[in-house]
Amino acid sequence: MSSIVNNIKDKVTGKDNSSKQNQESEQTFTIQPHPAQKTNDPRDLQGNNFAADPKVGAFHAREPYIPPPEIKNNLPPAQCTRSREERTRALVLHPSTVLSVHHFPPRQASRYLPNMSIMEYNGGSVIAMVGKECVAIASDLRLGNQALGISSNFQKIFPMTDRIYLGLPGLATDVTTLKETFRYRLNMYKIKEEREIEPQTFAHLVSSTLYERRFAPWFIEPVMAGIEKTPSGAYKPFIAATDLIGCINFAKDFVVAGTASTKLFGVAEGLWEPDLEPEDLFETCAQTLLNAVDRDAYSGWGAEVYLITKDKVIKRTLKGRMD
Amino acid sequence: MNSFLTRYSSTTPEAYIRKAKELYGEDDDISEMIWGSAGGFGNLAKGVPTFKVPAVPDPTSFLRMHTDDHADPSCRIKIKHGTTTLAFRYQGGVIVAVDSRATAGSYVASGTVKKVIEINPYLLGTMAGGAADCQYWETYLGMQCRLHELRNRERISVAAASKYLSNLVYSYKGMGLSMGTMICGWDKTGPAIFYVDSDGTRLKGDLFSVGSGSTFAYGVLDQGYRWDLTDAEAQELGRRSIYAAGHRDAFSGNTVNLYHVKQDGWQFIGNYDISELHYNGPGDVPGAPGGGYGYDVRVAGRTSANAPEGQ
Repeated sequence: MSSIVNNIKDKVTGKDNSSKQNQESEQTFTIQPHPAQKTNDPRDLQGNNFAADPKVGAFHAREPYIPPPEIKNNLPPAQCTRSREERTRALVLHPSTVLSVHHFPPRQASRYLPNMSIMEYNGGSVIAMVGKECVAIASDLRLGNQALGISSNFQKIFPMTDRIYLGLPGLATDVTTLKETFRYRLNMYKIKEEREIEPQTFAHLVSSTLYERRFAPWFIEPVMAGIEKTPSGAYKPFIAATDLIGCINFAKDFVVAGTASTKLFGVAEGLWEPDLEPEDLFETCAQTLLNAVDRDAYSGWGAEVYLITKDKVIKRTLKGRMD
Repeated sequence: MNSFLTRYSSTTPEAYIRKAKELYGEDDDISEMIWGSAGGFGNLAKGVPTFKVPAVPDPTSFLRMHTDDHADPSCRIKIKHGTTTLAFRYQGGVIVAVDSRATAGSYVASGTVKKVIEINPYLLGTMAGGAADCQYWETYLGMQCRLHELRNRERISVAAASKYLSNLVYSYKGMGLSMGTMICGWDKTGPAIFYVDSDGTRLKGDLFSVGSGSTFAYGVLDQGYRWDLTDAEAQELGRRSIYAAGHRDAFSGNTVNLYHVKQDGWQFIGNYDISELHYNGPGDVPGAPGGGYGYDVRVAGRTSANAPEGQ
């Protein structure tokens, strides 16, 4: 035991009593040994009952320190005017008050919380679909204040690069903020990397931007569509969507989001088929969107479709139902 | 033999009751429900149908807690809402116009709902709130109106019919009935409209609009309303008002149903698609100015935000 203590002392004081031959035969470490040990070998610790040693035991305590009876019984009285019971009573709220703070009965809750979903506050929906060497992304154009329609010209799809488009359905204020956030981040990416971002990378940028706000999220469920360039030089369609905190869904057929998402799923499952030519993909995507939003009270009021192919992007504004 | 004779000796509903009692055994086993529902024997034994209520000490407060009413939008049982209906009285009779959308939450459950209930050839009822409540009680009102005719040898007045309905729904107050209706018709006193709702309110008036889109309808209605409107102008006003509500209100839309009540009873004028009204207008109908109702359509090329081509 004392040899270890001496070793520590030597290391601290800088004295090197141990012979140099010893040092040469010592193992070499990739991991620095603990200051209290010679080696990283766990066996070095065996037989050294630190806790039992009164000198070092205090630093290896396993249990709480309980003062002996003579100290415990001779403590001065607590410097407090109220008894412990009184103080406890003062800390705990009335049981019924505690209950109503932590557990709102459903009927009570409505008196304090507005009865609305923030994801349905402004309305709007987006869908993206894969075709043969092309993708389409489409959205409605409604901006509402709950039931009241405000604008029939509110865009939710924005170009990120020449061949990546991003749809942002959800809370309108966050649509604007996130659009600007991504513009900034993509500009920074372009300056640092001296190239355009690839769709796959962009999806992860979207994901991490949203996860940054894990505990105070943006109320947006982004949908993206683009064309990837494979290492062989071919073009491959790309779509993805994330939830509002950034869980990515790389789909091979179609992705949907927004207040009409359930209806979009239904229609898309029925209409979509693999390897659609650009014009057929446009028709499928447009019909899916128009028919789905007609079954949703918060989406509609016009629509637009972006058809992305390897050499051009076509934007078309659709004549939708206006009710 | 005797029982065989008695069974076929009567053609009245009594025979059905007797037969039912035989089938069910003891008299006590026939529940009150049988007399009150359409699946039973009709309302022979009593004047007013009876319903099962929750088996709790205070059913009224129990139902108020769990069903929809104005005080508490976050209750368990949600009833289909969202509507625009309107009716107004003028020199030429009564115009009744409604939309046709039914929503459950944000889902558009139907776009072809008939929200005007044809109680009899002289009476119309509109439907807002719970679809089943309105349909059932206004049909029931039709039965009572017919009985009134048979008993008194004259048609029931709009005032009496609406009061019958109002008293009826008031007896269920607090149990979750949800209806906002206008009883419209023509009687000895001329054209009449009464607003009746499930709170028990009953109002006589010239002009009403009910439902989530009512504010939008009132906006158009108020600026275009006069007593001396012509029939064509009045019909156009009704159509245009429901269009406005269908356009702006998320929970109203799809189509307009237009009715005109005159001295010789009501007449169905037409069904108009609201999107068609927006882009192209109602077509060649009396009172229509031609062209779409939509703001964008009307002002195309005439505002700074929407400048004419080439500017």
